[in-house]
Amino acid sequence: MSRDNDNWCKKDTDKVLLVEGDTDCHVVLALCKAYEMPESFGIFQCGSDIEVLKRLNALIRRPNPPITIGVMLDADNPSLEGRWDTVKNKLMHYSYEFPETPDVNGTIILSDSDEPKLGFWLMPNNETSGMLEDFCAELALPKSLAFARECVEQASNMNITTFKKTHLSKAVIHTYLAWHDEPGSPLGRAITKQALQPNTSIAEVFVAWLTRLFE
Amino acid sequence: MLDSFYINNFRLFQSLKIKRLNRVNLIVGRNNSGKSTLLEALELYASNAAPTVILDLVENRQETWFSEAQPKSQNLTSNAVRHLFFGHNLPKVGEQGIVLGEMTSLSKLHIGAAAYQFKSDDEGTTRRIRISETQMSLFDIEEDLANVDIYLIAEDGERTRRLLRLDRSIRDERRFGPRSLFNSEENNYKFTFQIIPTNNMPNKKLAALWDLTSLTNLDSEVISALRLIDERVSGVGFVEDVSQRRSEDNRIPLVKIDGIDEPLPLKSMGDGITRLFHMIVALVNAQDGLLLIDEFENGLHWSVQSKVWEVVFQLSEKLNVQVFATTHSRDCIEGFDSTWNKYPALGTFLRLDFKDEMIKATEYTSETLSDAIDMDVEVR
Repeated sequence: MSRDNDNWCKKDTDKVLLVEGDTDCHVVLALCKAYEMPESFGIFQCGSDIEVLKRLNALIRRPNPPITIGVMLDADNPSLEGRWDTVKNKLMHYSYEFPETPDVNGTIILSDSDEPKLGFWLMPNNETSGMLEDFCAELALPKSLAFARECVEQASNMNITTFKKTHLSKAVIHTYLAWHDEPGSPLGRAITKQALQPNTSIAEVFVAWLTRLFE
Repeated sequence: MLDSFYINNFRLFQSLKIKRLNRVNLIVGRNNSGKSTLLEALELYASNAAPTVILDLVENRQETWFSEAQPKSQNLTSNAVRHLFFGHNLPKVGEQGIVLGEMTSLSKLHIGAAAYQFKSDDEGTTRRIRISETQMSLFDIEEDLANVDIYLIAEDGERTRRLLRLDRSIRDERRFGPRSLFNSEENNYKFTFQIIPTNNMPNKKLAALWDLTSLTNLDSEVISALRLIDERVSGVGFVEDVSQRRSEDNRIPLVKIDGIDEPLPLKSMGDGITRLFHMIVALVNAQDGLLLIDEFENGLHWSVQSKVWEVVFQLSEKLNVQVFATTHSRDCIEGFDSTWNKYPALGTFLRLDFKDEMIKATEYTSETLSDAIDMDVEVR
């Protein structure tokens, strides 16, 4: 990472991937590094799902808009179908034609008029409802992850947990990370350190989507 | 009210389509992207191609210097009116010139060149007869063309009007143009209109408009608008500035302030209140017509912009005025956006920019504009 002051998660580039938060950004950065992807796009962390959609809408109309805008969103608010509908409604006034359901390999949409090329990845896999942590769970060692899940369930049954139900995946993956090298690594670093393994099929499909989108 | 606007061959605009217009329209764009030119096109259209407006448009941009500097070159191609046409070239007789009008209208306003010949009929009456391009090419140059005059004409459906002689300089046309050309011009207007230039209206014009306003009950609208900036304002009047008795522009606005015995010059109250006064006086005098504001934000502090927009939205709806304003300022756009959200049916926001060597209009929905402002994404 070249210059100290460069914020890798606030890149306002011609080819840009919009993500919800810093964790999302670092997971993508780690995957790109693991797959030795050329630096063909920048990542912009918007703050939340709503802000991703707002920024996307505003960028399409901006003077000198980006050439390509990728969008990575959790499919948890409220579900995959609901999330896909929100995206479609937000961009209704443009000339994009959306498929009925997202492409399992990641959706890419071209416009007839002079609007940017768009790409959508709905976490975890464009097929089921979920979030970034569900995607990362697919990179975990299955046996170790299954035990982490058991631990969380037991703790929950003993009424010693305080996490929200919707955050179960987060609780499991961070429990898993607690006993891998180094304990307490955030998700992005865990990929770099191979505690989460980037050479799994879901990561391959994701990276292939990035490559197709930003080539 | 114009629901859309089409411009062909006018100044920078080879062809510009604005598909949707509304009560209050804000236009942004970089320098030289055609914001002021769009206002000029609207003025020209509203005036129904009035000759005085055409002369003003050319003179305001100091485009007469060339022909004035070369008094001998009074041929057609150097006439300063050519600057109004795309590429700075006058159309040839019979060619399409400027076209202005609503996109759906079948009788748009066409401004072009036509040749007329003096002919005497059997009874000895001379008439100007329009001659076609093909007829012209049959003439022997010089001799026969001697009694042919080339005119700038306006065509509007079935009707054709001669506006100016193109073989005379602008200055001569002002001086010697037939009186009939300028008479009762305003009766021909498609819409009444008022213009606020970047540096406000001349005092004389402001005073004349205020005189009209103060006789109606609209003066209270003006005063309540001024109270947005200073709530102590209770009255406005114009007085003659005796120190400048030779000037034509010597009537100056004074305001009555609660708690202060002597009236104060409006100008001493700051640029903001002056700008607002110009805007509102012009607005109430543009009833059922157009108000064109170049650089809305000039003189207005960021904190009052949304209040001013509020008045503009409300009053323009009440008085059936269609407002077109340009701006460079993000604060102005933010103020517009928050007011547009309150009156979603009344606004449009568009940007002019160069795409593929043409100027195009990009329209925003109110949601997209708000998203851009929330996310700090550039819109200008």
